[in-house]
Amino acid sequence: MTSSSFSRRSVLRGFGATLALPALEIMTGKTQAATRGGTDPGRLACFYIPGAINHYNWFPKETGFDYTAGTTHEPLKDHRERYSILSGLSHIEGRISGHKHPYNFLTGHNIAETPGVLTNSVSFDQVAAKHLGPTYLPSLALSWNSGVGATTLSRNSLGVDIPATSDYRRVFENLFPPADASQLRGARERIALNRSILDTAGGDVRALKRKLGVADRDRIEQYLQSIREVEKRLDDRDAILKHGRPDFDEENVRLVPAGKNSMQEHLELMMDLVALAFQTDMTRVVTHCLGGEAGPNYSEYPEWAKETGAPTRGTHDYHHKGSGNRGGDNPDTMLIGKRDRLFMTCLARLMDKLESIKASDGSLLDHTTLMMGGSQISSHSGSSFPMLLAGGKKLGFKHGQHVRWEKDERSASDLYLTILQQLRCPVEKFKESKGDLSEILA
Amino acid sequence: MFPRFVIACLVVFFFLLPESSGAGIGFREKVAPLLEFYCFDCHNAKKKKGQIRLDDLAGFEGGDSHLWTKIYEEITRGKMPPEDKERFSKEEEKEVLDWIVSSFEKQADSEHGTRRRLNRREFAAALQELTGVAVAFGAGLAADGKVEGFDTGAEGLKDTAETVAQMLEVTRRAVDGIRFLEPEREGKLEIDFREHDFTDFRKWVDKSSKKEGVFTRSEGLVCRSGTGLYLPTAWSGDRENSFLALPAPLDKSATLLIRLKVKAVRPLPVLPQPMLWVKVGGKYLDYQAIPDEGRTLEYAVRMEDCLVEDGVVKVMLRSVVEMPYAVAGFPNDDRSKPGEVPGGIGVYRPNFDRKKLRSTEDQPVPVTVVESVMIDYDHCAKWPPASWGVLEEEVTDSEESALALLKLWTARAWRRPVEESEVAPYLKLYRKLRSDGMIFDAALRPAFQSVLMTPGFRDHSSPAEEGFPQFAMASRLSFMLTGRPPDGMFRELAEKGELYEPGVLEAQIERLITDERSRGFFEPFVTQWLVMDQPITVTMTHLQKQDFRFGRHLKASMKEETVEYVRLAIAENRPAAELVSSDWTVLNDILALHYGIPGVEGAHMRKVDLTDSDDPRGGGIPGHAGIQSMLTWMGDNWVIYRGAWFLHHILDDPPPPAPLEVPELNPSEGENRGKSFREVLAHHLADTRCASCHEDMDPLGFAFQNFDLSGRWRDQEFHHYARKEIDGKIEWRGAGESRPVDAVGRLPRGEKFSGYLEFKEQLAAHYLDDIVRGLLKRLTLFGTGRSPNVLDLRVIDEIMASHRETGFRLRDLLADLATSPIFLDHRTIDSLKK
Repeated sequence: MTSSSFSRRSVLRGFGATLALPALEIMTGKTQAATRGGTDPGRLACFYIPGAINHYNWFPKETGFDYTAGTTHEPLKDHRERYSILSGLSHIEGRISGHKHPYNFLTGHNIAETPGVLTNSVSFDQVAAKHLGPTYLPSLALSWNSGVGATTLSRNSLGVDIPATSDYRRVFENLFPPADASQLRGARERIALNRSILDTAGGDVRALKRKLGVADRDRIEQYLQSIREVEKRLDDRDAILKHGRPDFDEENVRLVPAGKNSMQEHLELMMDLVALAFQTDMTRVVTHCLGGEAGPNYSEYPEWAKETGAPTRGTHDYHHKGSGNRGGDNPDTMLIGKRDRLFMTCLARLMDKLESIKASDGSLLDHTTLMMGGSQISSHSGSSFPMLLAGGKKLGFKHGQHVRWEKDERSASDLYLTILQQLRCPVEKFKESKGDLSEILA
Repeated sequence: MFPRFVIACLVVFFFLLPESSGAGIGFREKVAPLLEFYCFDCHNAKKKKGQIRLDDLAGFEGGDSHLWTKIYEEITRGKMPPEDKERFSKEEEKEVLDWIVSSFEKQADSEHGTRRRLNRREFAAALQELTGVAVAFGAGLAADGKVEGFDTGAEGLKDTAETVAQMLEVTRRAVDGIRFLEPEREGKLEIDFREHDFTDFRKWVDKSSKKEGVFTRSEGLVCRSGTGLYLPTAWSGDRENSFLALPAPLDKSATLLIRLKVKAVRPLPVLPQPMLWVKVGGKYLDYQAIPDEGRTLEYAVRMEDCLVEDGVVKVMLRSVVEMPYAVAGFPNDDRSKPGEVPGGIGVYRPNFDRKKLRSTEDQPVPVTVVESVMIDYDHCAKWPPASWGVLEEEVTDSEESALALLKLWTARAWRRPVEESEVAPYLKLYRKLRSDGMIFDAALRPAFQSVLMTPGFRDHSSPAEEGFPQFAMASRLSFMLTGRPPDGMFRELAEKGELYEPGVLEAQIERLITDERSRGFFEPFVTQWLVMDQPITVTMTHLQKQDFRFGRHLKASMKEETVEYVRLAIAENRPAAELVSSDWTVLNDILALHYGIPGVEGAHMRKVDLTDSDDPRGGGIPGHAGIQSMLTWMGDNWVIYRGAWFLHHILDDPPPPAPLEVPELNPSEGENRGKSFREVLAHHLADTRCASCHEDMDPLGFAFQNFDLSGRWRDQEFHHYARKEIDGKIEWRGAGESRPVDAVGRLPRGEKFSGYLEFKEQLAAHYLDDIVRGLLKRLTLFGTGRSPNVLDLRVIDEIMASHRETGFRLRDLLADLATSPIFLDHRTIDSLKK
């Protein structure tokens, strides 16, 4: 039996080399900007609730500041002043039905407008990423699975899906510059090499473009554009690499879920990564698809089924059976209510974390816009999104109220535009927006 | 007459309108008034029937080509204007259609793109052929967007910065896996288990390999000298075994190559073959039945795609029995009461006492034996592969060698001959890196990688492009029919310029279609055509609890059945009617058990003649258990879904999308309970808004009522279906009274049937054209990346006309399609005979 050896490779030491930045603690502590004495930039995290919600427990009856919170939002009671319930928004021109809602939740595009073909446009988180950067990672797309289509919420400027990932370890590994000094040097060398590789290939692409017909030229241009973007990101990344890896307690970052198939574990792990990413300023924009239209069948579902007396079903069937107007005491509806409540529990935990981290002024939560919502109340309908907005006090948001608009009075694009503008993005319009929502601004 | 008067007015009216951009005088003058009169009543902004709007069309714009193709199809098939409305006169119809056709012809050059990039599986296959290393490169790439369910649609294959960054990473891995001057790397583990004898694998591994960091958690594995290592037999539902845990390099950048020699040991001939499940780094790589004579299995993965836990990559092997069997002298292990599971077979596996029968040879169970294993942790293959037999001179550390290697690489990557001048930029990169101090291999790899990021590699070029039409055609056909780049024979023909000599292309097509590499065509094509990547619902009311309920062997075989059936139908040039109705099928042991057909042994698929069989369903895709099982919901057949699926994928007559917010219809709830499907679905026909589409879908769906939830034949249906649970898994059982199956229905054009067999007869007699046209359209999309447009449809009509009399022989149809103007992107052939 022959033995193995890795003499060809340099032996890489562990983490924790000396770096230019002062140490940060993960759990409580400060943001990068606070530590360095700068000003905290804005952050954005968008969470999508799949399927339908238990509307009995979600929508408060009253509007204004004195509304009685639905039981779904009970876990957020300590954050009452830091979030708002927004009802009645939807995509108007972009209204679709069925299970493709994640495609257009953040884009507002009517993806079915051309028969036979699915089209889309940019998602507003990418608009934010463009103006909030450059950061080590331009944005982060998280999900319950890795892939494109209904798994991801983000679309780039051409409306093309940006793949999402569910791999915590990969997220963590890609979130930061390498720790070791020689690895860091290696990473910068790799960047330079990649630039040369793309440069050389790019010449060939440009030469080809001149020879092609119109439609093909557009496709090649799309490729060239993508190459340019990658090159720019490589440059940005190189500049950030020069600063090295933020020093923090890496050993205590959890990357393996404790339970086999637990929704709560999954969400907490993901949201912890979000908090870490924002605190270390490795990225400022995150989208997170909290689950799929037809799965996964998390381990909580059978437990909830026992508690509410609902039969065992797959996730998709729960979405259908528990939605609509079956009565608040319908077992499937109650089950969906438990799921909604779990989302809020996880959100409250994230808000706790962000609130405990000091920013340049106020808390990290004050500089972060958290948006959590869905696009369906019942069956496949796409009207009147259940929507919750939290954080961002220093970005100019006014919370603690339930605002309700009439059907088709305001579109979700108005909300997205408002968020973009509060994040100081120089945009006047997003999709079908008519103006900002002044009711939620301080 | 009144209508013509109106039209005349409209003509004048439109003539007076100011000219809008893109609208030729032909449109305003001739076509627009006709559309307005016959179409706008329903297809306007307000009504948008079928979610189609026609009143904002201003002429032929390239972006509308989908819509114009749809209009063309609806008119030529006589579906629009609908029967109950005023319809075009013959002259008017010709006017509109001629205008559409000529618009497409004029626009062909400028509007219709012909390039598309390689999709994920093609990209991975191309990298494998190019490097000579069979790594699953696709694991690192993003999934493709789909067009009408196919991963070859140009419009779904777009580029973003994220996907380009991923390609950059994957191409880096590809070149990192090859070497030129570097010596072979150390880092191999080779064990021939036949040379060893022990009873505790774990102890043995500890003793011999621990210092390399290799260990195992498997307890009690026995190894016999002369035979090998026995993998314990698992049954579905058992927990997994670890085989070996291997140390992963810290930078996790390496190719892991594993080679296993395995064979089955079956103490009794009646025992089924064991299924081997192979999992490396957290991903299932393989699943296959192991034969007695043995097999060598080889897997190559990149470390980056593996799950590395605490610095190790785990290789898991599981030998599972998934085929029920009985052995005389041993009682049945299943202890459910007779009758508790309706129609249960009652035999799963023999019960025996492991304490009494200690030796594997005495136990009535099949076993997989690992004879030897070779694990190369850091596999780096010499390039070019020796099997290519190309490079005469030895490679030296010189620019001459670098150039020679670059030329060979680029020619293979671009799938055409290259000039030295074309390779110059890459040589320049190599030179720069050498002057930066890199060694030969390290400097050449980035140059190689750069070639992989060019359109020459990553795009399919069209035979219509300037340059190398013969090579482009070879590439197009090869990727279509094998999923891989063109092989030596194909390249040679293109090199000699002989591809368009009479009969040559047809011979090549036949060669590829009948070769085993055609699996790379049939598997993705059939799976995507029939939308087979859906959960297959298989109730296990007839196979015992736990073990086969969600048995992989049965589910995998169900998918395999349809893929293999279509492969044989096409490869053997059967008439198209046999796609839906024939007297043969393909079976393996578990499928035969599922259908109740005796005398089929072994896990491999083979053709079975059904002429003398009792099987009531006969041969043909609609009768496949996997298909029918997939099209069920909530405990019973879903008549609507089956009807809609059939319309869409077989009859090429897709129903329009459902309106927003359709309320649910559950046959087992409330007042619907106990009603027959027919009564429940009467709602659809009562409401005119629903009837327009459902009157075609619902009656058609009844043809399949004889297929139960698991796709088996039934003659009785139940009052309702109740959900039962076994160990938390859902199972549906008929409850209450039973009644004979009601399979009376109607095909879309009115042909009635009173049962499944009559339905098949009607299909074969009246719907062959639809079936064949649908198939040819999908083959067009699969092969060219373009949804068939008007020009493609006209060629398809011509092809069909010439094959109608001979019964639409499938391989001939495919050959005609692949050599038609469609695959030449509607350019002339003279310029291609280079």
